[in-house]
Amino acid sequence: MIPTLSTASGETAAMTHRIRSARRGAAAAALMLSTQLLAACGGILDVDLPGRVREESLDNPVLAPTLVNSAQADFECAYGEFVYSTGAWANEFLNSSGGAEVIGWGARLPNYESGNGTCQTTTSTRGAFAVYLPLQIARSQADGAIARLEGFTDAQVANRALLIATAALYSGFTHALLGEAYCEMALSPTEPLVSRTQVLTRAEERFTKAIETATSVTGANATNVLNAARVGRARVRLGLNRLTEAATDAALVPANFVYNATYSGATFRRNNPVFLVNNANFHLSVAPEYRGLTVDGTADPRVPVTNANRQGQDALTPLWLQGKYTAITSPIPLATWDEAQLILAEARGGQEAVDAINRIRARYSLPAFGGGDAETIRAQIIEERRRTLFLTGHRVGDQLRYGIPFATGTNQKGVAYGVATCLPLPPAESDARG
Amino acid sequence: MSNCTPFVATLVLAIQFQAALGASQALSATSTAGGPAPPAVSRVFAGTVAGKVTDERTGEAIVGVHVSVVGTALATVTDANGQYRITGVAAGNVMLRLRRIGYQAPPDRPITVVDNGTVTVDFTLAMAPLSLDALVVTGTPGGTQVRAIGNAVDRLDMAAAAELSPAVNVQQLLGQRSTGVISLPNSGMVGTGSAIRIRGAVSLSLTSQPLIYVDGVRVDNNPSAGPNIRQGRQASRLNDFDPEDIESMEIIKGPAAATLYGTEASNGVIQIITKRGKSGKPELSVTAREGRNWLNNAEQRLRYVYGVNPNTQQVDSVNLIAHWRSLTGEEIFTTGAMHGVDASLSGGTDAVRYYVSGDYLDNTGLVDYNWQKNAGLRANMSLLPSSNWSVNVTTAFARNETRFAQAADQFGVWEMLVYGSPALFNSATQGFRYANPTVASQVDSRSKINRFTGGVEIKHEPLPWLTHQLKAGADIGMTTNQILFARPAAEYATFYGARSVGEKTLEQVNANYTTLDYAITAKAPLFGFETSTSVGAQYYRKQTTFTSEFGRNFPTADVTTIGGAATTQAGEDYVENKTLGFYVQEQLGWKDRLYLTAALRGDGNSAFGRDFKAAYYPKFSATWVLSDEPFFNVGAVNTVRLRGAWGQAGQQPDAYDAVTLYAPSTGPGDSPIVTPGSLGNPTLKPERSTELELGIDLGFWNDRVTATYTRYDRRTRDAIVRQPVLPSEGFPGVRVVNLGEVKAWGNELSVNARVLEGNTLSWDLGVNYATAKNRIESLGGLPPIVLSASQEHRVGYPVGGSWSQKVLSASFTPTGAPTNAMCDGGVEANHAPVPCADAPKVYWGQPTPTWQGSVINTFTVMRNLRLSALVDFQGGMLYEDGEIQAGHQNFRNTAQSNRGDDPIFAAYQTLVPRAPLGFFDAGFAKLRELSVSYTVPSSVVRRFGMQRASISGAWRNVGLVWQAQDQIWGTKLFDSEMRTPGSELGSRYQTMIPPASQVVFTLRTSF
Repeated sequence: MIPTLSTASGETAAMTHRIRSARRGAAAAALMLSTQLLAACGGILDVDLPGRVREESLDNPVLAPTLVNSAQADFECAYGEFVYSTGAWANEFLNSSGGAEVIGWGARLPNYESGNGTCQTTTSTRGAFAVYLPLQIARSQADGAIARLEGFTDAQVANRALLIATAALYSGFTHALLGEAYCEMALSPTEPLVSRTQVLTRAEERFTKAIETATSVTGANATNVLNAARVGRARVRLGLNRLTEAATDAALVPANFVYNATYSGATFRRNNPVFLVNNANFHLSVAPEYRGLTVDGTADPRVPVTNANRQGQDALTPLWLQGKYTAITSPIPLATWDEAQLILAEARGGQEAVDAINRIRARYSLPAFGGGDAETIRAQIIEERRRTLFLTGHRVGDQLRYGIPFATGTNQKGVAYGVATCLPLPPAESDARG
Repeated sequence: MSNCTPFVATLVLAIQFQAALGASQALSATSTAGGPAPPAVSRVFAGTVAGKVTDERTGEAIVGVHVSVVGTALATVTDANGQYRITGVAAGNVMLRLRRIGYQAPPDRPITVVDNGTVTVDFTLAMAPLSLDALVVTGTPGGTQVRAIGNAVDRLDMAAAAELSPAVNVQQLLGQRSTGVISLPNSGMVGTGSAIRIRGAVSLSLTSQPLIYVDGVRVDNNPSAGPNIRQGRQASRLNDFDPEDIESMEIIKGPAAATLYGTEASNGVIQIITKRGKSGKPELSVTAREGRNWLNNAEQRLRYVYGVNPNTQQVDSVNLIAHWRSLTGEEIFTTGAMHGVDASLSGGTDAVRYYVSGDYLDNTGLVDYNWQKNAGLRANMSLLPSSNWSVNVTTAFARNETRFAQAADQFGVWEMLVYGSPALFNSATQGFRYANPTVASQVDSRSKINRFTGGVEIKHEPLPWLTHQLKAGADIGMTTNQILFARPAAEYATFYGARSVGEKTLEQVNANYTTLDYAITAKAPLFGFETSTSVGAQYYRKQTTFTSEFGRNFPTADVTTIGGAATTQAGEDYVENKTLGFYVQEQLGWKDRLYLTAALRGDGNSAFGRDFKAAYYPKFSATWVLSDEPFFNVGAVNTVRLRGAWGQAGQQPDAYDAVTLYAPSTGPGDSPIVTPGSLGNPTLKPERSTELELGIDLGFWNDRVTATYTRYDRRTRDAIVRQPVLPSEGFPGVRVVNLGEVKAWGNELSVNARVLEGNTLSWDLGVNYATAKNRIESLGGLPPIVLSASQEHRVGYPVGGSWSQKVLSASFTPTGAPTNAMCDGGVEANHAPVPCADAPKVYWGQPTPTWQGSVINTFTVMRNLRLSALVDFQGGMLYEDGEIQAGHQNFRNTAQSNRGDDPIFAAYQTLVPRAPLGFFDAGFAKLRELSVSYTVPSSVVRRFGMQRASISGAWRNVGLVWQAQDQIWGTKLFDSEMRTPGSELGSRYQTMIPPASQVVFTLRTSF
């Protein structure tokens, strides 16, 4: 509080004048300061974003190759996660983790809410299983790249057709994986859920775009895209039970063709996650059904599995390691002549099927299959697929397509298997739709 | 991203108001001759005022009393002898004013200063927990008296608290000393800290951490720093400051009080005020500490683990602490030593005062590889170049390093213990899970920070009724975090998995905070009122640069540099946020007993969406010191103050939530790619909290007993909700939207009493009690928001409530499997039993305490000996002990999971989530501190050339007094006071090293 002192009226008047002048001065000073601040305000709240990319920046033709590389990268990330996650779902792997996440997923528990994780970004243990979301991101990236590329011109973008074909190839495989593993899913945030058949049909459309576009381009890269798309289209046509068309595509795939999803040690996200989760982190162990497989006494090189002679991450489950991928940089086959032959075998049956199986066996120096009646041959095709396509993300789709029973009873941890067969749609997708 | 155009209205309003008031004041001055006016002081002749200030009761000198000449900038602080001296005081009649936290403010004393003479004026001050005249600088422009503030402000005398407390960091010192404020539990590792909550946690998505200022400079308030070890980052940046440098803390608790801090302030504000120099001869103070840390009664408190012994094929049990001793002859947990020293030098003249200090702390935890080594320097300087200018400069540098006892999953000693089993007796781990305790010591996770915090405050009083001040400051922290798995020796390689070839993660985090704060205040009489008009502007900038390197596969155990690894990776990120705010405040005071305040704050922030320009926060408050009215005469009641405040404050979204962004990454062939990062929201704005706070302050028997009571009701609108993005949108994570509404309310009561008063014995009793509840009113039509497997936001229930199925009955099949499990059918079924397969999740409890408090008793014997005991307590929250849950379910190493005779328990084992196997009522009361302090008589210390000396001994975390629940399904809890430190709302914790006990002996001397 300001002390008060008595003053004469003349002094009061003088003081009044001084106060008024000073107040005006202070007000003017404050106004000037505020004005200065306001003048600077236009940019004073702007911030830098050196580590991120704004969405609108992508509408630039110069970035066309980056857009396609991005689509490929997100697909490869999703594919790697899909391979081991569906491996645990379809009992290629057993869970050997102390984490409840792995236990619930591996046991296909009915109220298990997962599959909506993102791709691996650290070296640490697995978090949420990452299947549905990475596939949706990959789908969005690939379809987004196609849309942007089709909005550009050939004058703006070199090799535009090949880039479109490549993006369409990855879009096709993304749709194929979704359609094979899920009973229903979304292809748009604003449209109703769609069926497996609808998604596989969409996959076929994408593969067709890839084939048609790649056919117009010359060069090894275009040929690889073309053949990979043929395998992909044959695969989804098989799923759509359009066997003749599937066989036609499969027959065009050259011998020993392999189109890989690539992995590297550059970042954790680029690591081969199958190797990481089984061989490095020990959270999954190869299931007994895949241990020590032989063909007529000859060890089957398509299913290389070894006993680690230790427990998994849970310190309880015996750890068995896959040897198909030997490092975090190992590629995972995405489209192969092997698969094309198996499609051919299934689509045509009979002796053609036996011949196809034996062409594959010969490639792996395995004894030939002697054939049999149609049922025997079909059973052998399923078994050959189980082995040849081990840890390539096919098993869950095969179990659903062939009606192969999923595991029942209790697992090695005493956890009862659930009744789910298709992969569960994450609540993030289903709940918001009511 | 935003602009300031909307602020023009605020500023124009402010300037017009100020100008209008100027005219009014001029009118007032003209028409009220003989009324209030600036003091008439000579500018030519000057003298000196000096004297001594002592405690009315003890006669002890009082250090740190602020003595000022009213109406001037002349001021000083009493030294260790209670003496003060102010030179250059204008000759004539002046008023002397004394203020000291914890003491009643005496009336301003008129004195006459003679030219070139010295006037000696001594004072005695009486202790007064309820001091209405204490100066508060937080939440008010330029500072004002408590009696003029309509909201509760806690002012803590930390210098006094430090004399009795064994606390070695700020968080321990703050403890539960303020009503409604909680330092959340942290790990028992030295060097760790945790978050602070004021009036609970009510934000659905954002941090609930209060803002922290040090001498007016906003500082890094991150409670979750350090390397990302098991259970997250566990270092608190608050603990970088040396508690011995702190003079006091001011805490304002909610939007009604924090309006002038605008966006970001809805969680309250903590202001740390550091020590300043005193005029007089140099005073050297040295404080030496010696202490010990240990895990109290560890072996008896640790639960036995169960499992089938492979040697007997029978279910066996083992205490793994004893087991390790039998195997190796060594202890897992040892007693860690603590050594600390603080030295300060202060003094100066009336024109220049200084406070310089240095500190060093060497603290070892429960295992010898957990330690912290802190060193700090501080230099504070106060300059009075003339009677109307003052400059305060504060600088502090800290260099702290901590090595943690935990690293990554599977490498912590505690998880090896609690997840162990007799089933592992014959494995390489020898009964422990994952590895044995030797391995835990081989992983080197540590954090080192070099931190500078400094600021300049310039005050100017160009006229007796006009003051303005500018504060500028910076807080610059450079942190290096490391987690190193050196390539292990062959015999340990099997425990390391992928890390058996060696691995290292290195992070550098540079966090820079910049503060600019200008305020101008004009005071004048108006129609019998004292008016105070303030206008201010504040600018804050936060920049965080984060770089990381990772290396794997070292050629030998000796090579531990990233460059020596065969595989390396690097990353970098940058986050920046800016706030610019303006405010205007008008306060009317009537006869020093009635005050009305109105204020408006406007903010722009770089995190707001491009379609949202600015946020405005109003405030109104009133306070009436009823007991100062002439008509007041109510027996033993000597002080009655009524207060009320209504105000708003905000909480800004995260830095880039408004923008749709892609993240750069690495693609095939190491090509650069972009991947969807986050979906933005261009209309994003801050969440806005509105609070009504009503309270009463009472004093009885000349303030021998004081009580303060506050009731608050808060409603947060536009609450930021992290709406899960539909995966089919092709983006991960969430979209941040302003949809929610949360209501919070509570009561706060504080009572202080001098129960006994005498020369041989006195007894002071302090009690704090607070309640804090909240309820989600709306989620904007969204379905429940899932935070974790067992926590969700649901309308009608508390924020972050625990939800899970509740099994009511079950039976066993002949083979021993649970069957016929019936669960609570939930509210919709009126809680009737339904098959668990169809059962909904039901509400179990909330993650934050609904009640809390503390009781402190201090006995003073013969004026020199003080004994103190502090008990704090909290309850009403439900936590999930993840260790016991996992023991019951995953590892099956608990007694119940091995007995298998309870069908309900077995039914829970088949449920997902299985959180009820770890849920427990986490209420507790702890004897937090016991201390004894002895002040050596002056006659003795002077023989040794000292002015003052005291010795004290204190024991922290003495023991549990009460536990709401001490076991979960038959498995005993080690400690109820556990929580994942960095978690905002998480109620689940796992593998935390429990809180340690601590004894510290302290010797304080001054020369």
